Amino acid sequence: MDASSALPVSRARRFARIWRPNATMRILVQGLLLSAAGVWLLIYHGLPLQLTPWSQAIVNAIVSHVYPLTGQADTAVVLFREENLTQLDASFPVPYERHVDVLDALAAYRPAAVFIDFAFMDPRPADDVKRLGHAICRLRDSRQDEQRTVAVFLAAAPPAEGPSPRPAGGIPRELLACATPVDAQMDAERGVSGVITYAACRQEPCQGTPSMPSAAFAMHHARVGSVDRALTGPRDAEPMEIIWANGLSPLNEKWMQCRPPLAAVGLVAAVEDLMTLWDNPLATKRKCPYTHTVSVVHLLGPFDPDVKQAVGDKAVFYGASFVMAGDRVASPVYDDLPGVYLHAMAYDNLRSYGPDYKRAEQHPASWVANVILLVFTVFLLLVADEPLLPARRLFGSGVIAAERAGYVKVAAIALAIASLALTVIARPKNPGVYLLPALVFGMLAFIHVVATRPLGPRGETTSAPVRFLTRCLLGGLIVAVVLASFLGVVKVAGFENGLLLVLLPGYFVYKAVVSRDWLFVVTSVLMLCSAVVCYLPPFNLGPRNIVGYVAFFEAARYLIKEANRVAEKYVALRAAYREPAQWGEWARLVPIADRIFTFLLRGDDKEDTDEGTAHLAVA
Amino acid sequence: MRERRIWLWPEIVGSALLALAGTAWGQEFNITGLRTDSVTLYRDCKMEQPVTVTKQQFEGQKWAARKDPNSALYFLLVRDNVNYCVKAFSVSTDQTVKVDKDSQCNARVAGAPPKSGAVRGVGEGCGK
Repeated sequence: MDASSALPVSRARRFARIWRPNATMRILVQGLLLSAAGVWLLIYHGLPLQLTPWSQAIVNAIVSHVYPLTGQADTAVVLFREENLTQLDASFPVPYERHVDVLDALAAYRPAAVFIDFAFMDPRPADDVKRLGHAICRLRDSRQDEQRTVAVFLAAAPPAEGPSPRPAGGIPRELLACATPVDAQMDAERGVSGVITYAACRQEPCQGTPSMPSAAFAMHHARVGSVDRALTGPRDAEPMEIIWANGLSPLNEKWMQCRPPLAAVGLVAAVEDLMTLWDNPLATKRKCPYTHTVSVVHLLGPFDPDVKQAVGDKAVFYGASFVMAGDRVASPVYDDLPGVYLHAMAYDNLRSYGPDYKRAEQHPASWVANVILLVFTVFLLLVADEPLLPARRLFGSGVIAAERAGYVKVAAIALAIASLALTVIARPKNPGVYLLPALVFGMLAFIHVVATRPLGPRGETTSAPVRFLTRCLLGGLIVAVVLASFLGVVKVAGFENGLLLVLLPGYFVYKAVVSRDWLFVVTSVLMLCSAVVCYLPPFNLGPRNIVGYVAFFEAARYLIKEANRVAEKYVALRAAYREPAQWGEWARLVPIADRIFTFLLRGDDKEDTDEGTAHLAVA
Repeated sequence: MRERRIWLWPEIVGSALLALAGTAWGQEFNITGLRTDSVTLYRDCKMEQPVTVTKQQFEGQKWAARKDPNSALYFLLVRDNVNYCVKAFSVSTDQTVKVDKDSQCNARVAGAPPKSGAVRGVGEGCGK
């Protein structure tokens, strides 16, 4: 022991000693700070939504490839366009006589169910109302020869404040003889991405109360009946978050203006388009709706096999596209659409996903998935790059511990594979729950590898200059290929697909081949697996959340490195300047600064104590 | 001396197109069935003179008809020396009746429509 240590400690000596927490305390504090930041950013603050429009562009591209076509095949919109008024020699509002024609024409094509998105509330001659009522009844009975009834639903007005002579949503009683009123109100947009929620009924809770169902839910119930995709579960009346499918409709392409983004003629126009999209990937939205659409003029014309295919035995949504009516819906995918498409898309979601439709409110299980992802991300951040000794010990860096941890790792991988196999064989109703253990065990195994990998540079076979030049060449080549492919894909399949299919994989390859950042590579793969698991029911987290976690991981990793760099600089300064006078008026704050900066340090301690004479050294 | 050639191609193509258009316009076909329980015929194409024909009444008949040159939504037919119009969707025909040109080609369904004069701001769209 140094003799000087026996001397009474003076103020100067106390100042000279750098307060330093041990590694366990540091890892605890760093873990808590990261967890708090993660909870705040990812769960409460909604970082995933803040990443819009980029994350939304990625989501759009994914949805365009994975969204099932079940709903599209069963849904049609019959649109009364403003231009049709002239063609039909009619004026606004549409005369009931024209509606009678449309409903009769619909009846001739024999649909399965019809939702009429017109508010029949304004006073009209009694004869007109009567005739419309009869047309609705004819539509309902149009398939009697097949022993079937066509379900007809009418849009109801918002509930009146006081007593109303028309209690059923303001609809005349004559029109309700053969039809059912349904709620057709639109929910407000949620978040910057324009995600739209869709209620199952007018007043929650929907089940067990005489609440009016919403159009899409009523249509789905009428169409699906009691088959396996019926909504009968306790959570099947919860509000939906609409997934906007964005594929093509060959029928719509036949008669609509469907210019895809970046179809501009000429290089300058294409580059201008690209710059606009780079600034805001959602700037150029789709022009053509996803739902098969015919106009009333198509319907009223001579028999058309295309119309028959679109409307016959399908769920038909009959609505209007009038500027004056103002019934428009803005979505993350399309330029604003006539309001009837909202109901059609909600129905499409129900037909495609059945009871697994995406809920607006997260399932309790999704909180579990969120916590697991957050814990994984925080652990990874703690053990990445410069793992602290306790983390390495925990995951088995010692000889005996490593042996035990090795068994645990093998067991984890085996359990992950077993969980995966079980899911494939059993095909459970909630595959996400079955796949979660696979993900967790996979993550554990990965964290183990990260924590116990040998630190320092690996043995290189080539000299540094050769390696440097090779990487430069590779980097340049990858950038050139990615750029060329990106421009090509954008031209053919749109900006979102360019982003998903070229830019992201290109960045991945760059990190793997040029940066050799295998930590990022494996984390990305795991996060991709997480995206698949979390997308499945009951989690329904959606890829946007996963983008949030990857962004958090990358940003936090960068900040941790920066914090470590600053902390090391501070500690070096502290070691060099140990007199209070050297710190001037800030000398009083130095003990507090010690406690802040030393908590930010990464890596194992080389010394356990600092008595004021030795320099603090951090590996 | 160079021989002077007379190019007849434009005239020939033009005549062929006109002939085709004329054939389409005057396409004749037979109404072979009613697609709804009853169908309304409009005497002299006047909406206030409807005549209703039921499926039972039509059974076994075949009506010669042609397209209405003024509207794609009606067919014209003559019965007992009286002209009638019938809604095109309500009957089935023995051949596909082609629409000369979809009046809605290149329709724009999504996107904010241009504002009408009543709601357009002063100077809006002037590009200044």
